[in-house]
Amino acid sequence: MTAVELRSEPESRGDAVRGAGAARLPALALLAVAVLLCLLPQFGVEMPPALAAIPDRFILPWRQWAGEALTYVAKDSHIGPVMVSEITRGIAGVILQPMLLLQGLVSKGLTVGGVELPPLPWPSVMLASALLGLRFGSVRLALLTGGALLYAALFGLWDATMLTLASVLVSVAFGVLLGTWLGILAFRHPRVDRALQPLYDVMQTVPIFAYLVPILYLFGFGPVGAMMATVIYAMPPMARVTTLALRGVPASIGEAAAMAGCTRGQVMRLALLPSALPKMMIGVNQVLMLSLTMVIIASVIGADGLGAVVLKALQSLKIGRGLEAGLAIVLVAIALDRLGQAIAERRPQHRDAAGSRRWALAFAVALVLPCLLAPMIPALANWPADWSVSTASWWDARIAQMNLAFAGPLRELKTFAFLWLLRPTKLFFLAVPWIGAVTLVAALGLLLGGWRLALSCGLMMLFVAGCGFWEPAQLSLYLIAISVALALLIGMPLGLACAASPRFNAGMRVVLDTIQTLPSFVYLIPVIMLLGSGDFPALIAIVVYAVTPAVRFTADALRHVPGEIVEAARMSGASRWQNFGWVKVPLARPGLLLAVNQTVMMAFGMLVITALIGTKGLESDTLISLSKADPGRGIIAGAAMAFLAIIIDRLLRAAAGGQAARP
Amino acid sequence: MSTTNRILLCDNVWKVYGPDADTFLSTREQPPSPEDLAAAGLLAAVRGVSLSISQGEIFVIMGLSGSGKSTLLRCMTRLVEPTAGSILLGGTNLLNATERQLMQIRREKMGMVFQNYALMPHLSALENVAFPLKVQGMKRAAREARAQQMLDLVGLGGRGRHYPHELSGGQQQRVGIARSLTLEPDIWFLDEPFSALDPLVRREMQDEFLRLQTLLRKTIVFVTHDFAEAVRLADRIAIMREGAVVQVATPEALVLAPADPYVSAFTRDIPRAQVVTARSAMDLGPDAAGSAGVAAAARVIDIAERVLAAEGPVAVLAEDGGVLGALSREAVIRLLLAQPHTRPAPVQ
Ligand SMILES: Nc1ncnc2c1ncn2[C@@H]1O[C@H](COP(=O)(O)OP(=O)(O)OP(=O)(O)O)[C@@H](O)[C@H]1O
Ligand SMILES: [Mg+2]
Repeated sequence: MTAVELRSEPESRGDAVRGAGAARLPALALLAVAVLLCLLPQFGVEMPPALAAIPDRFILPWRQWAGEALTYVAKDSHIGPVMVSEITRGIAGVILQPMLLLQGLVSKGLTVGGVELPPLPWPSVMLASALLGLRFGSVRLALLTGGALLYAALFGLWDATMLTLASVLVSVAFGVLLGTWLGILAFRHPRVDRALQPLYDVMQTVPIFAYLVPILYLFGFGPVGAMMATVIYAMPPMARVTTLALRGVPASIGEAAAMAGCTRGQVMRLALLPSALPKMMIGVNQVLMLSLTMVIIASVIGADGLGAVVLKALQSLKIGRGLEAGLAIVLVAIALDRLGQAIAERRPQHRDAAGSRRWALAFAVALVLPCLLAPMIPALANWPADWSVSTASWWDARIAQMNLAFAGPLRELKTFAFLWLLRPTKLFFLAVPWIGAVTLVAALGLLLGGWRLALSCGLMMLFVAGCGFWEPAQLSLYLIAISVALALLIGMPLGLACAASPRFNAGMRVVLDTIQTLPSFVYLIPVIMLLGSGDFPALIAIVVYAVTPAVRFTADALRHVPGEIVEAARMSGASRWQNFGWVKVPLARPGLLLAVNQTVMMAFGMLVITALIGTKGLESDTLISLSKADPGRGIIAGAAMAFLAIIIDRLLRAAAGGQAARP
Repeated sequence: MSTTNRILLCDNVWKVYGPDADTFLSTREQPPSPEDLAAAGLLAAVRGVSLSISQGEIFVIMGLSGSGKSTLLRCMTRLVEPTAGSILLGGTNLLNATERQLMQIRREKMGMVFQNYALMPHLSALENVAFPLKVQGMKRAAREARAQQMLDLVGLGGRGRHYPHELSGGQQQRVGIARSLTLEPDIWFLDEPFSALDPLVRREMQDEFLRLQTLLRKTIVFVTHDFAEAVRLADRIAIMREGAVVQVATPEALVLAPADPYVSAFTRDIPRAQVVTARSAMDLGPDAAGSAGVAAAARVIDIAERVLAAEGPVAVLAEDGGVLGALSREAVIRLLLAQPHTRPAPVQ
């Protein structure tokens, strides 16, 4: 009896979320038709060819248009008398200078007024970063920051690491400046805010390579193009966090500043921004991590640094070397993240005042002393070659050994997965007729959100079907579908365990926090090492990457079910499993759907990069367009992929109740 | 109150929130009723308020939460732009001032204290107090010396290097008070400065406030929703209700002659002896010869002990020393024993 009562409550709630009882019947009917259309080919029913795939003569030359439009903007267009290309090259020039300066400082050496200066000696950089860790964190943090650089030096990756760090720092500086500026603008003018928010949403779903294409055209191939791409890719969280942080400052602080006689600019500069700074640091940390991800990926378009080392090693199958460099990326990422967090969490103390001069002195000594000693002691200027170690050959041997030992089972696993999972799913997706896909998306939109959602999602799907990349789109979707299913299958039970056991949760958090800070590129290394290239390794990489949000968001969703309701259910005699299935899961439904959504978005993020190990979907088109200088192809394939991600995002958010908070 | 030394004059000030509030108000000939406004989707936080505040007085604005006290106070400083009306500060209309003039007026004439202290979290106590001087470009050493004086004045001299989160609520508000006085304002605005403090600290801060006022003699506009606090501090009290001022009077007059039930509801819990003055409680007639008299403006609670200890009725003296009447022990006892929520027996 109690069970029935318990059950009716959450279900009626579910209905309320879906809304509109009247509109449900036609939506359900449409859904049935859509499912039927999608499944017909599976039962051997021949579709009219025009409904299965849009015939070529109806496909508009999007690709050509996009290419021409970009070429026009980049080469011939002008604003007033000024060519757009001059503006973009100008911006590029402004950005190039600090980057060259910093790269010169830490790695390449500088020429000032005809005098050639050597780069900072390695002990300067290492000591200074350890001091930073000590200043803002603890001895442990100092060991981490200093240790990461020591590792780089020890394994002969010093120059690459310095180049990567220089690029990251410069793009963080620009990303933070740009983001802060846009954030202030959105704070002052709600209309600007409303215009920017959806733009940021799209920016965060567009595949990275699709970004690179137009940016490289506008800003030129080379380090500056990569830098611009990084800044644009990493900036949105900063802008968002800035606006939120400013809104969070009590109004009276601004009023107090105004009463003190501040001008409008002074109120912002002297009162609001500094008060919002601690929260804004969260944004800075995100920019830092996103920049690192992008700087590593930019190796694909020829940027120097750790990413390039990894890429070269993987391409020439020097797995051990790739692993060493990959580990350097991991260490740098973790060190940067922890340092960023430590700085963000700091609050001023009155005891600091006296100490800060001593710290400044310590930094000065750490930086200058090695510079003075370096001319006398060459080992300080350049890390001596015979101090370096390499474990590459050891790794290579281990991997060869492992491959030998596991070759049989691995091959069997691969074959099994291919025969029973990959191939059938792939064939299934390839057989889905476009008309079925468009109807399905529209029907779901109608059911979950109403006709506006149906229309927008349907139109986006129609674009995907009719842009000339239908088959790659299906190839992308099939990988996403399998990997999301697997990630949820693994991640949700883990999330469940986290919600149930605080101790398990504590352990898991450390693992998740660490995994999440790693640039996506790093995940490819062990996968290639053990499995080679192709769809199956790509699948594994995506699953590993996308499991994190599945665990985390599932745990969050279940933990936020009010304890009293669960107790009430237990008091009405519900068993553990009844309690779970009928009370917790329905109540946590919006949160769980968000977990699914995050998993899908992360899967897309990784899918993009799997193009590097030979997948064949839209992601590979965006990658190929880079090397073939065919911008139209990259832009349209990238847009199609963004649309797929946006469709899924919108539908899942609508299912979760629309207004659920963004993570 | 004489009219010659009025320093702040509000005339028919309105603040209406909502779309197109300006045009709505300016197209009306009659002042709109709350119903009219609600029908137009507008909310009047301040409705046609006219007030005059004199040099050196402590003027308290009281009312329930949401009655528009803070909004009115912010209109007076133009932190909120009034929708209609005029506000004269020492003769100049604040609402005609340009951005630059306004900035200058705030620097020279106004100081403000906020309910939640509104200290900048990134600045130490000393830097917070020095902030208004920094804005004007004063050199660091000079402004910090001045700020140190202000901190000494509020009894926080030793805590200058502490950051706001390292100070208690009462200490933070002392910093807020010091900051608002740094520029030596003519008018001092305080928006529920002690509401966030616990009762003991609040009491202590009120004493501190009165001590400062005897030292500095500012003109003060003080917002509170605590009538006991208002009675302790105020020369005059304005009671607000739904944006309009219902009554402006001395604490005593509010208690003895409330304009309507809303006002008397406020005054109900106040012990009579705390507000009634000797002048109101005395008996007419000069039968109090001999003893040293009490001032006519003194509150009964403050002189009760002396009257009760005296042999007979005590003389009540005007400011010039002339005898106005006599205060009997019976009258004092009646007031002391009066149940706060009943009206006191008519004093004759
Ligand atoms: N920016 C605003 N937009 C719309 N309405 C506002 C705004 N500011 C205040 N109000 C409204 O004006 C009315 C008066 O607010 P005000 O803050 O002046 O009240 P108060 O008397 O100071 O109350 P409290 O004692 O709670 O501080 C309230 O109904 C409030 O909702
Ligand atoms: Mg208020």
